[in-house]
Formats: sequence, structure tokens, C-alpha cells
Amino acid sequence: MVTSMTRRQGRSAGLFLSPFLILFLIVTIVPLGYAAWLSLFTERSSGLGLGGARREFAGLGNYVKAATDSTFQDGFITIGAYVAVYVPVMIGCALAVALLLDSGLAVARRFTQTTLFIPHAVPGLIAALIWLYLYTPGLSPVTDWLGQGQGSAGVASTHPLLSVVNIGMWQWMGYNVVIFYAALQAIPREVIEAATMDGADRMQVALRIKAPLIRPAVTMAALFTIIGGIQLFNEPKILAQASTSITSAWTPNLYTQDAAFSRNDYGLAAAASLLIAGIAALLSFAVMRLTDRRSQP
Amino acid sequence: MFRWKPLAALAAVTALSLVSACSSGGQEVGAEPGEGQVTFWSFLRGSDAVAAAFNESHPGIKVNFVNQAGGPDYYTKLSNAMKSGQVPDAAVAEYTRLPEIVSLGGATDLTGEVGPVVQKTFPGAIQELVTLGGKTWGVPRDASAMLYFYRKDFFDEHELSVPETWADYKTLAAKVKSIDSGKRAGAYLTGNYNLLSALSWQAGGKWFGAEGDSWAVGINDEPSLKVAGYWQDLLKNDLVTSFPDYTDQFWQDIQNNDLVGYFCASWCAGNLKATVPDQSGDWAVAELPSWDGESASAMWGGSSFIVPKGAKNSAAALEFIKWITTDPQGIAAWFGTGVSSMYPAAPTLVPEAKKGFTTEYFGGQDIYAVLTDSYDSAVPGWRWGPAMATTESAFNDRLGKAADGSAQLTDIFSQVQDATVKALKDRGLTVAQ
Repeated sequence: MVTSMTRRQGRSAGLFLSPFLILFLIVTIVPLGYAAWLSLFTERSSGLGLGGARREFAGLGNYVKAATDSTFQDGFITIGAYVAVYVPVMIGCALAVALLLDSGLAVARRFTQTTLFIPHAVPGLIAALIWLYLYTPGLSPVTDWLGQGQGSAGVASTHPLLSVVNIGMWQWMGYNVVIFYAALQAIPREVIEAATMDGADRMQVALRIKAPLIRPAVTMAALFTIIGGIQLFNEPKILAQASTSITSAWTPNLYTQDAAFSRNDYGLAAAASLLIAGIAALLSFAVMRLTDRRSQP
Repeated sequence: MFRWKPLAALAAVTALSLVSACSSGGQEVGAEPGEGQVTFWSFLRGSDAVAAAFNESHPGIKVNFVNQAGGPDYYTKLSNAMKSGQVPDAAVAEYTRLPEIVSLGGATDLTGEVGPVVQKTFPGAIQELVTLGGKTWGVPRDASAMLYFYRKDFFDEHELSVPETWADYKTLAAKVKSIDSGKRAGAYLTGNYNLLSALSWQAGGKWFGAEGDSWAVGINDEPSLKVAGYWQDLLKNDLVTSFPDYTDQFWQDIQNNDLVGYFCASWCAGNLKATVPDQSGDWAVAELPSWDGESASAMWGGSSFIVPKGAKNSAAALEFIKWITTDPQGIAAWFGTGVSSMYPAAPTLVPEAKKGFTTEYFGGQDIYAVLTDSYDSAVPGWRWGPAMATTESAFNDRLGKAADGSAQLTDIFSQVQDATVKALKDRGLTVAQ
């Protein structure tokens, strides 16, 4: 009796899970497996190459080639620098804005929130195109106004990292503000009242009470921002058109795109993307563990 | 009851299609000669008109034109099509990229079918661009000989003369700057290596060549380094302005009358006419300055047509390709849009092209005569390499550093040489030392 119940339960659980499992298999596992398989091969020609290329088993050769390629490594340095600038600035600003909105000092709260959020509705690629225009000397009303001389290389050339961070900020700050604000709203008012009764001023309430209470939300946002950073692609891809500093393999993702679609080296591209995925997974795991431990009492 | 079978089948089909995507498409047996459907990929202006005109005059063949975006993405699409076996029957391939397509095994050897036609119709410098290993892989359409575009009104006003040598050009550039510190007589491109490759070609550089069964790579050969040093000097003395490419920022300078001259190929005439129509009558063209005063030229761009390997209807595709590249009617069809300044690779078709391009914009100047001189003086022996995408990005990633002074152009040429040789060796190609 009991066993038949569990079997039936198991069957219905399988029934409910199957759409997910099938989709997961088709859109994640199969491409992943295909990439893993592709990464084991390389295409070799000989002589002048007139006979075309033939596929050869390379073993882990593509992984070694990617890992030891200084261009690929430089991509991670770029990402490191980007994350080091972007995450504190983004989280700090978003938190500050959310605390301001929550403080009762802000007027037109809803309007401000919506206005901040609107850029997030613009697709990343379009945002990058808009900023490309805004960064281009001679065309941009902004750079001329800022006194960037005409004929100069433009902001994307002189400050590639900051110009990419700026696009990210514009696009994602409102999103994080909404998350933080929602978390702040969920703080029981009694806690804040108690703090005020004890003589804490607004600043102290914000920094000592509210901010620590929404730490899980802040940590999650920071984590997603870091993982998003590893995937940096759209903004530099577009800005590269007008920037002399952003090269065709500026970030690891650009490197894989260049390897596959301009160098026709699909094996190398597959190996490099799996390396990126591995690093992203390791990083997420490490940050997760770290924050878990810290949030333990 | 939940049905597994259709979904399992779907999953299997998806997996299979992914797997089969990497097996190369085999050559299929062609249909009867000159009949049936032809899929045609091109990004060239006027391709639609040409396909339509062909369909009208060839009832047995139906050409289906599929418009493509130009630039590097096109070649990505083409090479992916080659990998999946779903290739068009006829496709455009710029001379720069033809050897790479061939070395990836993506083009059909056309020696038997069009080899004699190509030999008979086109001059040697052009033939070399579609020949590799003694075989003909494509049929040339246009030749984009280099020119110097200049503002005749400004030159006349300040009694400037058109430079005949590169030494003259430097003097001119300095003069223009001294007349008005905001004006320049030329531009350096930080995101497009074609300007420097054309000028290296003109100087007698040979970036690629076949020595028996191996590639010879000479991106940092002596003539090319001479060009690099010369442009480094122009940049150092701020005699030319810099743009990523001949796009937005460049056109802004043209519009503001800040740029009074620039080096570009024949197709730039059409661009100029279309982009700044209000400067009609102000512009003129001249041949490139040369190192020794003798006419010498080179090309920037230019296209040929290939039959990708695995094409289903290569016989009809070849008929179409021959018509649009060598038949006067075919050439006439290219000019349906009225703005093309295409210069046909076949000299016999130039009068036809000339008829299609009105020259009021150039103050009535016979720009086709200048183009013919430039075309005829193209330095022979230039070939493109089998990994131009790598060579191109290696250049474009670095050219900006010469403009902002953080690197020497001559060093950049040597770095690109190393990167290119490495890319060739990585692919198993033989490189002569």
C-alpha cells in the first residue's frame, strides 16, 4: 500500500518535472555536451591549405591553448578591473539611493523609482549604441560640452573601463534600487521606531540598522553583478567600433566570439567558453560559501 | 497520459541536427546546365536589380537573391553555412577574403569552367586575386583602384596643387594645416587597416605570396615599413586627422569642411555623392601620389563571385556569375541605382559603367579616366592571405596606438606579421621562412 503510494507520487512528480527536464536537456545539457565534444577537436590544413581543412582529435590541446594564451588571460584582468570598479560603485550608489528613497526625505518616490528603472527596459545592445553616440567626439552633445576636444579619440578610447562601467550603471542601478527598496520596505517598522526611541538619528538608522538588515539582498545583488561582469560582451563589442583601446579580445567572451567567428577556430572557442563557465561556477560557489559563513551568527 | 515519444523524437532531432552541423557538406551533383533555382548571397548595392535583370533574360534559371549585411559578419555567416552544408549557389567574396574561404575548403574550383574566361577578360593584377595554387576560384566583378579625393574649391582658392609624390603630399598637408589649423588634407584610420594595406601594395610590398607549397608572409617587408614610417611621421606632426573608419565622425568632418582631402578607392565616389550631396561640384579626384613620381596604384576592396563548395546548382550559378561579371547587359544592371561608382574589373565593360555614373558631382570631371589610369598602374603581384580575419583584427586592435602615440606603426606592422604567421602555423599551413 505504502509503496504503491510513493510510486504513484513519484510518477506524478516525474510528470510535473518532465517539461523542465526536457527543456533543460535540450537547451542546456545538449549544447554543453556539444561544446565539450567540439572542444576536443581542431581543424588542420596543410601546405597552402587548398585542400581545405580536416578535423583532428586534439584531446585537451584546445584547453591548454586557451589557458596559455596571453590574450585570453588579459581578458580576465580586464574583467577583474571592471568588477573591482563596477561592483562597489554600483552597489554603493544603489544602496544610497534606496536608503534615501526609504528615508522619508525623498519626494515623488514612485516617480523617481520608475525613472531610475526605465533604462533597464532598454536592451543592452541598444543602450551601448546610444552611449557609443554619446561618447563620439564631434557627434555627441555631451562630450563637446564636457570639453573633450574635437578629433580626440573619445571617452571610449581614453577611459574604456569607465565608459563601460558607466553604461552598466545607467542600465542596472535602477534595477538594484528596486530590489533594495523592496527589502527596506520589508523591515519591521518597530525595529526602526525602537532605534529612534533609543536616540539614533536618521543617518545612524540608515547605516547601522537598515543596511545590515538587508544584507542578504545586497549580497545577492553583488553576486549577480559579479557573475554578470564575467559575461561582459555587448558594451565592449559595440564600443570597439569607435574605441582604439577596446580590442577584439578585450574580455573573455569577446575572445571566444573572435576565435569562433573570425578565426574559424570552433574548438578553441568551445574550450575557452567552457573555461569561462567553469571559472564563473567556481566563483559563484566561492562567493556563496563566503557569504553563507558570514551570515551565520 | 503524458506522451514521451514526440518530445523524445524532438530532442533526438535537435541533437542530430547539432551533430550533423559539424560534418562538412559534401559536393552534390549539379542539375542540368543552366537550369533551375539559384540562391544568391550578396551585400553589394544593386544586387537585387542584377538578379531581377538576369531572371528576365534567362527564362530557364530563377535566381533567388538573399540580401546580406556586409562586413565581417557576412563571412561568419558564410563559413557557418559551409559547416552546416546549407550553402548558397552563388556568393560574393571580396578579394581580401577569397583565399581564406578557399583555405577553409569553402569554394569550388572553377578552373575548368571559367578559367579561360577569367584569363581572357581580366588583367593580370586582378587574375592573381582570384587565383591560388594555379587554380581559379572566383570571377572578378569590380576593381577598386585607389584615388586621392580632394576639395577642388579649397585647392583652387589657396592655389594648392595636387601632390604627385609622397614628399609633395607631406608638404601639402603641412600647408593645409598652416592655412587653417582646423583643416587637414588627409585621414588616418584607427579601425580599418585597408588604407595601409593599399598603400603598402602601392609601395611594392607583398604581404602574401605562395612559394611552392608554402605561404610567404611579408607584412613587415621593406616597402611596407617605409609606408608605416611615413604615416607615423604624418601622425607625429599632426598633419592628418584620425578616425576609426570612414563613418560618422569622418562624415562630420567632411560636412564641416574640416577635411579637404582623403585617400580612398573608387567606391568612395558613390559614397561621397550619396552622403554629402550638398557639396556637389566641390570635389575632384586624382591618382595616388607615388614614391618616385611614376604612376603607381593599388586597390582597396573589390569583389568577386564564388560558387561555395556543396552548392546544389553550380551550373546555373556559374551562368549567372558569368553574366553579371562579364556581360555588358549584366554590368548595366548594376547601375540601376544610379549611385554606384563601381569600376568593372573587365576593362571592356568600363564604357558601360561610365554611362551609368553621372559626374556633375565631380564638377563634370571624367573620374573614370582617372580611375582607368589608377587601375592600369596597379602594382602587380599582390595577394591576400589565408587568415585575413586574424590579420585584420591584429591590425585593427593596434592601429589606434599609433594615433595616440603609444606605439610605433613600424612595430605594429611587425607584431601583425608575427600574429599572422602564428595563426597560419596554428592551422597547419606551411609558412616559408
